[in-house]
Amino acid sequence: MAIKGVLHRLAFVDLNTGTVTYEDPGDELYEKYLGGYGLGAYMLYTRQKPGLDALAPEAMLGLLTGPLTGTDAITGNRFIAVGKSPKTGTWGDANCGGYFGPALKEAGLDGVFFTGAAKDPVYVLVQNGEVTVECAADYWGLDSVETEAKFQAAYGKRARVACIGPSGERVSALAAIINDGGRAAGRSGLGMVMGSKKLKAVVAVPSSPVEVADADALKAVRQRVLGEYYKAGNPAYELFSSYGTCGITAGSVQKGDAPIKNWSGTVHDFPTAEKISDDAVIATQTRKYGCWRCPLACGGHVKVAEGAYEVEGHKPEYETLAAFGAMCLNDNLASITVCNDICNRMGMDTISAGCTVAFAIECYERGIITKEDTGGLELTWGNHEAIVKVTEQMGDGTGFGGIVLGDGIKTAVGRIGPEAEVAAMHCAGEELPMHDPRCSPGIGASFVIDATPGRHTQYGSWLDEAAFLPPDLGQPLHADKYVYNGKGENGAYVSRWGHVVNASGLCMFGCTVTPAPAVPEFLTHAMGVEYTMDKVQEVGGRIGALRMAFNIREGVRNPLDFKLPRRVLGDPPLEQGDTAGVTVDNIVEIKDYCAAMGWDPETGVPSRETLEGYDLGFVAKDLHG
Amino acid sequence: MSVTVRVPPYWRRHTGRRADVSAEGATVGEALADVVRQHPELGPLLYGDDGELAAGLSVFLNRESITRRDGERTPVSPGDSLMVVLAIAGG
Ligand code: SF4
Repeated sequence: MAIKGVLHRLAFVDLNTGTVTYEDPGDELYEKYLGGYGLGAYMLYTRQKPGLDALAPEAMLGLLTGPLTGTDAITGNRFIAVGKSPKTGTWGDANCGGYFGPALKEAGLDGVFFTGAAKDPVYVLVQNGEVTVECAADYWGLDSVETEAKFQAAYGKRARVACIGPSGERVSALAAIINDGGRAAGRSGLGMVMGSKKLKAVVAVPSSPVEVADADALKAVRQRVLGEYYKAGNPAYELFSSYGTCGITAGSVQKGDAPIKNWSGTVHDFPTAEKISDDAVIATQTRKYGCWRCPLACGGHVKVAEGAYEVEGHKPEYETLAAFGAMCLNDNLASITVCNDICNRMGMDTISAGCTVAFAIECYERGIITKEDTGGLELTWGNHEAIVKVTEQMGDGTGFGGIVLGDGIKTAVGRIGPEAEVAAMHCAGEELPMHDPRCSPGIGASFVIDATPGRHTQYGSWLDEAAFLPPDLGQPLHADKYVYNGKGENGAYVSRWGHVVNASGLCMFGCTVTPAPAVPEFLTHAMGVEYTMDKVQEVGGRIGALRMAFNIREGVRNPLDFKLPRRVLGDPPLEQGDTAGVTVDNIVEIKDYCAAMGWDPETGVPSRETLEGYDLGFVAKDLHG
Repeated sequence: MSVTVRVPPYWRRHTGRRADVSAEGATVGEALADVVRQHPELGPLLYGDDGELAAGLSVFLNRESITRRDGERTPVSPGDSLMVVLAIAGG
C-alpha cells in the first residue's frame, strides 16, 4: 500500500544543465523520516559530498513539504528549506508558513532539490508535477513583493512564489527565502545559498488537492481539536488569534525573555516596551492574515503613516519587534514596521538584520566605529532614523550598512576588527534569536546543541520553561529551571517531539495549542500508517541523530566547541530586572541532553547503538567504522 | 490608594479591552483582589484553586518582581503600577 498524504514525487533539478529528474523516495523513507527536514536530512546525508563549501555549486538546496502540509491537519501549511548553512558550516534549515507549501504539494511535488548554479538568473516553475527551468531576467532585481505580483500576473493568482529579494541576489548572509510578500524561511542563511545558485524563485501553480488515507477521520480529529482551541481561557489560543506574537513583547521585556540593549540591558533600560507591543501593534493592523487554513491567523497586515514613515506591509512578529526594538532601545513602532518591510521586500532575515544593527550600535557607542566609518550615521541607542537608514543600506547593499554589516555580525567583526568582538552576540555565526537563557536557561543549551546553532524554533527544555509546550505532551515539568542537573531527559523528549512537528509540515505555534496526541492521529489518518506518541519519539530521535551526524561528518561538530558569548549566559550577571544575578551553566544540560539522546556527552556523536536502533546503520558505519 | 494594574493582552476581553485597570488597596494582594472585584472573570485566571496566584503568572511592582519583595503582601503606594505577565514566551 502506498503511503498517502504525500505525492511520492521529489524533483531534482541540476541548475548547471537545466535537467530535471524525479524520484519516489518510497514508503519506507516517508514512514521513517516523514518530510520537511526529516526527509531533507536523509537526502542531503546520502547524496551530498561531505565537506563541500555551503556555497559550492554542487551543494544541495531543498524545499520540502511534510506529509501533513496541504491536509486537514491544523496548521498543516509549512515548507522547510534545507541545506548546509553558509553561516555556521553546519546543517541548516528554515521553516515557513503561508501558502507556498500547500501550493507546492497541490502542484504535484513533495519537494524539490537543487544542485549546480545557473549561469544566468532562472526561476523554476512547478505545475502538474512537472518542473521547468525558466529564464528570470525579467524578475532579477525585483523585491519580493514585486516578484510575487509579477509571477501571479503571469501564472494566475493561485500561483505561489518562494523567492529571494535583492539581498539574496547579492548572496548576502542575511538573505532569506520569502513567500507571500513577507513570510520568511529566514534562518541558516539559505537565501544566500539560493542566491549563489542564481535561483530567483520557485513558482508553484496548484491544481490537485492532496489525497489522504482517511479524509473523514482526519476531519473528525480537526473538528475535535478545534473544540479545544475555542475553549474559553486558552491563553495560547487567545495570544495567537487576538494578537499574534506581538502580544508577548512587553511581557517578555518585563520578565527578561527579550534581550535588551544587545544583551546587556534590562527592562529599566527599556521601560517603554508597551509602545512596540500588543495593543500598540494591533492599532496599526488593517486586517488579519492567516497561513493556509489556519484557525489561529496570527499574522496581520498593518499600515503606518507617522512623520517620515509610511508603509503598508506585514505585521512585525515578536522576534522583529525585539530585534529592532528592545535590542536597539528603539520604542518607535513605525520605524520598526518600516524595517520589517525593508527586510521582507529585500529578502532579509529580520532577526539577523536587527541583531546586526544592535551590534553596530554598541560598536558605535563604544567608539569602536565612528561617524566617519558609518558615513555620517549616528548609530546611537534608540536613534530610529539611523536604524532605518542602516537597514535600508543592508537591504540594498550600499553604504556602511551594506558594505560592513551586510553579511551579519560574524563577518562584520572581520571587517571592523577584533575589537568589535565584544559586541558580537552570535553562536557559530548565527545571530541569536530573541529568547534569553537567563530567563529560560534551557535555550542556552538548545542554542548550542541543536544541529542548527543559535535557533529558537528548535525544541528543548526551554519550551517547558517558557510555557510553550502543547497540552498532554506527557512529559513532566522540570521543577526548577535554574537547577541544571537532570534536565536532559525532558529536553530530549521535547526535542524529539519537535523534530516530528517540523518534519510533518506543522506550525510550532499551532502545536502549542493542539493537544499533543492529535499529531500522531493526524499522521495516521493522513498517511494510512499508524503513528503513536512512542513512534513520534522514535522518528524524532532518528531525525535528531541524522541532523547531528550530518554535522559530525562535516567535521565541524563537537557541541561543546560552539560557545555562546558569556554575556548571553549572564557572565557577568545583570544587576537589575527579573533575571538579575543569574549566570547560566548550559554545559551541564548539554551533556545531560546528549546522554539522554544516546549521544556521547563529551562530543555529541550519536553512539553506534543509538544509530543502529534507529535503522541508521549507514550512518553508524560513517561515524564509527 | 489607587494603583494601575496592567493585565496581559490575552485577558483584555474580560476588561472591555482595556490594558490598564485602576485598583484600590494597600498591598499588591488587595489591589489584585480589587481588579477581580471589578472583573470577576479574571478571578480563575489570576488565582488557582488553592487561592494562591496561578502557576505561570508573574507580577511586577514598578518593574520589580514581587517575589523579590514580600509577594502579595508587598505594600503599594498611590501611583504605583503593577503588571501581570503570563509565562508564555514563544514566538
Ligand atoms: S499560527 Fe500563525 S504562523 Fe502558525 S500557521 Fe497559523 S497563522 Fe501561520
